[in-house]
Amino acid sequence: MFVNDGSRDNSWRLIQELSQKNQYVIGIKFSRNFGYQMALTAGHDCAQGDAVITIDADLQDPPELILDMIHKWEKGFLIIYAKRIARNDGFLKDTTAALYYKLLSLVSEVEIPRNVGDFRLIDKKVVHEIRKCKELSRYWRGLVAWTGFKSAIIEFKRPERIAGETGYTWKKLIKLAFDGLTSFSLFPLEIAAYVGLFVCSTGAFMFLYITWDFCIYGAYYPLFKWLSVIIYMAMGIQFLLLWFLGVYIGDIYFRQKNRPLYIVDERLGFFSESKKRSV
Amino acid sequence: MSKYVSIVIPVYNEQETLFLLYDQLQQVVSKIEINYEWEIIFVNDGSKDDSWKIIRGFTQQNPRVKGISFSRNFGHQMALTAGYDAAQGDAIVTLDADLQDPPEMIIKMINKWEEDFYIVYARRTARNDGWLKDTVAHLYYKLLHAIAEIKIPRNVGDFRLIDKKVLQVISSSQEPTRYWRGLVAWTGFNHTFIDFDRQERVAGDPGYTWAKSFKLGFDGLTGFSFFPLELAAYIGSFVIATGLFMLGYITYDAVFYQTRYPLFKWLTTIIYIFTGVQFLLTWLVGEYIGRMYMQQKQRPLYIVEQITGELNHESNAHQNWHSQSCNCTVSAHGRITS
Repeated sequence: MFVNDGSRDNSWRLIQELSQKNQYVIGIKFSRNFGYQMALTAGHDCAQGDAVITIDADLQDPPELILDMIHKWEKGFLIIYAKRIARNDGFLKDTTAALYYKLLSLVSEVEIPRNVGDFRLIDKKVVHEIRKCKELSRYWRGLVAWTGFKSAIIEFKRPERIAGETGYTWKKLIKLAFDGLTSFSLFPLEIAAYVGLFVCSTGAFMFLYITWDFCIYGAYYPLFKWLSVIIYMAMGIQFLLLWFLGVYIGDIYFRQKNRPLYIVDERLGFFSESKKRSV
Repeated sequence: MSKYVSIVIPVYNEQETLFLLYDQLQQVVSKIEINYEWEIIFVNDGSKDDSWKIIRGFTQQNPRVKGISFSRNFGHQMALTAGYDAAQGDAIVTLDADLQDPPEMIIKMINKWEEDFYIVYARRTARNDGWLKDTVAHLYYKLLHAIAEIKIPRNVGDFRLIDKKVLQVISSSQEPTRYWRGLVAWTGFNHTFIDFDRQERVAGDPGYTWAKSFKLGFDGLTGFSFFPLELAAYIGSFVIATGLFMLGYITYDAVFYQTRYPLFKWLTTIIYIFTGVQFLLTWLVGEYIGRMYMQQKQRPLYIVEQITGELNHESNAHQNWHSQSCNCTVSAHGRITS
C-alpha cells in the first residue's frame, strides 16, 4: 500500500502503474502534503492485514528485513522495531538525537526505544488500540511504544540515501520532537514548578537574611529593598500558580486525546462478552 | 435468583502473597456461597514477576475466577477501573493483593450492604507507615476537607464495597485520571464504615512509592476542587491592596513633605502593584480552565437516588430517567458516552 503524501513529482503516476500491473498493490493519494505521520495514519487506517509493516520509500530501510520481522512476529511478539546500528546523519544531528531520547525517556510515562524510526511491524491488536486514540498530533513511534505490548528489536545498518532529498528538514524534525515530548509527558508544564520552587526558596532565604540583619544588627533597609525581595518571591509564587494551571490543562489535554484508559492484553475466565461496558 | 458479589483485586508484582490470598478468599467465598453468586477478578497491572502465571492457574482451577492482564503497567487506579468495568456483581468489593486488607472483612461488608448501605468503607484504625507518612497523610486529609466540594473519608483506602448503582453513576463519567476514593465519596450515596487493624506487609515491596502517593494525592486535590487556581485571587488581592497603600503613602509623602523619590522607587512600587494584577489575571484564566476541566469530566450533573410520586411525562428529568441505562444520571453534556 503506497500513501502519496502530496508529491509534486511523478510518484503518483508510478504508483498508478504498479497498481494496474498488480492487484495487490493499493495506492492512496492525499489532496496535498499532510505530513509523514498523517501518511502513516492513512495507511494504518486502510490496512487490513493481521500485521502491518511500515517502511520508508527512500530505500534507507532495506525491504529484505521484512522477512525477519514476520519471523519474529510468528514467535509471538506484537511489535517488532528495526533499529539502526549507525546513524549517518552527521555529528550535530546525532548529538541532538541522543540528547532528545535521553530527555524523552526521563520525562515520559513510556519508554520509547532509541534509534528506532518508523520502520516496524505491528500486530492488528496494536493497530486496533491506536485507532481508538483520536489525536491530532500523531507521533507514531510514541503511540506504538505507549501501547506497551510485547516488543522485539531487529538491528540493521542504515545505508545512505540513494537518490532524492531527505523529506525531513530540521524544522520538521523539531516539530516531530516537540510532538513526541508533549504527547506523552507534561514535563514542559512542570518546569514552572521547579523554577518556582527555586525562586521562592532563594527569595525566602534573602528575606530571612535581611530580616535577621534588621532585627539583630539594626541595619536599616529602605522600603524599596524590602519590596524588591518581596516582588522576587511573588514572581516565584506566580511560577507555581502557572504550574497549577498546567496541571488542570494537562488533564483536559489528555482527556481530549481520547486514548483508551488501559489496554488489556489477555482476559481469562470470562464466558461471554455479553456484559461489556466500554473502555 | 440470588444476589451476585464481585471481588476485584489489582495485582502488581505480588507472587509471594497470591497463594495465601487465594486460600483466604476461598474460605470467605465458601461461607457466602450459600446465599450469593460470586466471582473473583484479578487484574494484572503489568507485573514483571510470575503473578500472571499464578493467576492463570487459579482461573483453570475455578471457572468463577477471572483474570485480566494489561499490556503494561497502567497504575493501581486503572487496574481498579478495568476490574469495575468487567465486574457483573450487584455489589463489588475491591481489595489489595498484599494481604494488608484482610479478606474475612468481606463478609462483614456484605452484611452491612444487606442493611441498605450503598457504600461500605473499610477504615484503618492504625496506620503502620511510619511517623512522616502519617503526618503527611493527616495534613493532606485536613487540607482536602477544607477545600474540596465533597468529604473524602479519612484513613480509607481502596478496600470497600459499592453497590452496582454507585458504579453505574461513576461509569457514566469518563475521566482519564481516576481517583476512585474521591469518585465514590462524590456520589454521596448512603455509606458506612467498618474498622480494622491494617496488617504489616507480609512480603514484597509496597507498590506505592512517595512519588506515586504524591501524584494520587494531587489527583484527589485537583479532581474535586479549584482551590489551587483560586489561590491566585487571594494573593493578587493582597498584593494589590498593600501596593496601593504603599503608593498612597509615598504620594502623600512627596506631596505634603516634599520628600524626593527617584524614578526607580516609584517604579518598584508600580511593578509590585502590577505583579498583583498579574496574579488576578492568572486567576481569571484559571476560572475558565477550571470550568473546561469540570465540563470535560462529564460527571453527572446530579444523582437521583429515588423518585416518589408520579412524574410529569413531558418533564426532562423523567426522559433522562428512562433514556439512560444507569436510570438516575444526566451527563454534563446531555449525551451518553459509550
